[in-house]
Amino acid sequence: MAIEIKPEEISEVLRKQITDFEKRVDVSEIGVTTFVGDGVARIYGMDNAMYSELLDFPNNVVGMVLNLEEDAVSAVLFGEDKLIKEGDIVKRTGKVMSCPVGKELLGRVVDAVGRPIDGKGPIEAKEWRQVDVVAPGVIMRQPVNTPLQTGIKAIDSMIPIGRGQRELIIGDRQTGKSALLIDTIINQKEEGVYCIYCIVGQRKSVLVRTIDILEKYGAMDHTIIVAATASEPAPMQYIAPYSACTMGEYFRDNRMDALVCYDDLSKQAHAYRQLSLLLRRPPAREAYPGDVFYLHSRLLERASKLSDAHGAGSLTALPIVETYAGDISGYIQTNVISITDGQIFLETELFYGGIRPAINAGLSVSRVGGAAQIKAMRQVAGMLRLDLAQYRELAAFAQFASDLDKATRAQLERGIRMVELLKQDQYIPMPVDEQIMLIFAGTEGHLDDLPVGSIKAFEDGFLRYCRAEKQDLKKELKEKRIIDEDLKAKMTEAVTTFKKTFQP
Amino acid sequence: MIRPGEAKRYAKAFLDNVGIENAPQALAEINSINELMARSKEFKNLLVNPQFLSEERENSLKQIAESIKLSDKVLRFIKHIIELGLILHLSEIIRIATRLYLERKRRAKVTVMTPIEIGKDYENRLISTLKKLTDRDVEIEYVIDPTLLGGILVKVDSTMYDTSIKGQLRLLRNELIRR
Repeated sequence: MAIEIKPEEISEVLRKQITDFEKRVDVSEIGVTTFVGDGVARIYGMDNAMYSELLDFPNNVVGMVLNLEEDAVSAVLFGEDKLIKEGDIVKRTGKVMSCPVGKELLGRVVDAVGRPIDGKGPIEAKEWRQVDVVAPGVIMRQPVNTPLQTGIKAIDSMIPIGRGQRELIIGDRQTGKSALLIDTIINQKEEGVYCIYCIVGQRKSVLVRTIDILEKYGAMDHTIIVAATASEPAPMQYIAPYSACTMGEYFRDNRMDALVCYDDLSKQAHAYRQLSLLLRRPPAREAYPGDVFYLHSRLLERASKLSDAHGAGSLTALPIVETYAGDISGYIQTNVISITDGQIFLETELFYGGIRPAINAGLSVSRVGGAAQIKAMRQVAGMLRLDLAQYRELAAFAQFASDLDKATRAQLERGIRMVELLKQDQYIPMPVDEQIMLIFAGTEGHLDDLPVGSIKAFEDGFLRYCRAEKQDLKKELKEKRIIDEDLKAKMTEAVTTFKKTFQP
Repeated sequence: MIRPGEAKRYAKAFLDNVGIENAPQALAEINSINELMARSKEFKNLLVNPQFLSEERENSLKQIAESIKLSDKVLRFIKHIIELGLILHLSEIIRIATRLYLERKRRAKVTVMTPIEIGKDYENRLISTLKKLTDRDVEIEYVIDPTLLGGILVKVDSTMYDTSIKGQLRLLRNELIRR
């Protein structure tokens, strides 16, 4: 049905608003543009401008003060710099950068300052928040104590992530970094965790593909995408992660759990380097400015688990940093590694060796550890990471040795099967109870007598069997969250019963 | 882009050199060079382009100085600025020098923009109001801007008082968008 718009009604509303409009003197503080170019502007005057205050340029371009100098200020522009010319008058707004927050943003794609770019109409946000704020203090926090289930076997078992943790995902290009994040977001559908996916400096095609995938797997309903693609000016790419974090903080501060993914922070550092050089800040190592560490540390510090007195909400951060030729000792890489509570290192060799997700068990850690895992998972996978790391080393040496002792051979055989078991297809996150059952089968040695090639088939069959026949066992595992003698016996029985019918 | 503080350094040196009493005359002279640069591409090219030898530049400058009667100190200052490669930032140096001069003389420069020329009695009222507002002697520059439609727009230092119809319409537009 078409909505009938009556021009009289509209003019009546406008007339009423205009009658209320009082004539007043517009007093504003102004400056004069003396230089514009490459997304930055220098403004003469404006004696009382504040750091990170928004400025009103002609043609509706907005800028943000980043340098305060003796007679002038330098600002970055969130818009086309071609619309501004030397001598233009710039006004102070007295406001600092803020963006819309709230549940109204869920399912939407917005730009770095929260304006919708998905063509689904305006966002009626009830609340706006400052973009760059200080992280919560010590008193407001509590240690991480609840797991964030990624649905990825290799991560949930070996490198568990807790709600409120910062876990870096690091690796070369094309090793499946973004795929890990997307899988994690898809898995939060059942977990009640709101997700914010922040795309910085990526191609627009990547953005479109991501939206497509998330919509296909029904994950957009609990997700906000904040995008500053490669074609957007550097200031937008610089500010986008802070906006995404602010949107996540709304959920955290309102007793909810949120996950914010930054894809990726090396591109943000590039954008910040560009800005800083244009603003004539002194360059330091690799031409990054001196405060590039602070750029990331103040962002990632905002991820936190709040204390019960403050509602016990949480904001988990999963930043991505790209490496070049597997070198994790680069400047930005080591910075972010030292800020986060652990890293997941993805390797090209493993990826092309068919081990996907291509997680290097030796170099990946989670410094929160056991507190972020349910007890049952800790029981079955406690030593898995170390065992796998040892297996990798052993396998390298075993290539030279002709005859090995029995224990070593057994360890190698077990390792091959565990690697096989931890492989997982994309977009199919797995519930934690099923993960436990599978890893239990592996670590208890039930797979040792199966051919390596049949592990995948075993996994599929066993899961189908459990879903059909062992619903009560799955339920019990979910509720108890710990494997006692009784449950262990039941699980062993389930595996052995299935194995009898399984034809490798 | 000029380094922060650099323009101020030369503006100060300029004022000290010409002396505070001769400053208005010297500022007007240096401003005429700046305007000439803005108007004539060839002249700007002569001052900036490294293809020209310094003697060529000096000779032409001397001729120009004679024709527009530049004082010796201003000419030397311009030459020095050219040597330092800061001639493109002359407008910024002038702006700061003007501000410094007004500060020293306890005067305020005010720009008044109106759509039509204002009458003498209005002018007197305006001057007395502005004197009260700034607590200083005022030096008014009148600009006629028909796009204001009506009302008056006053700029004092870095504050702008806008009662023009153009400004009111802008405020009304913002108000309507906000609702």
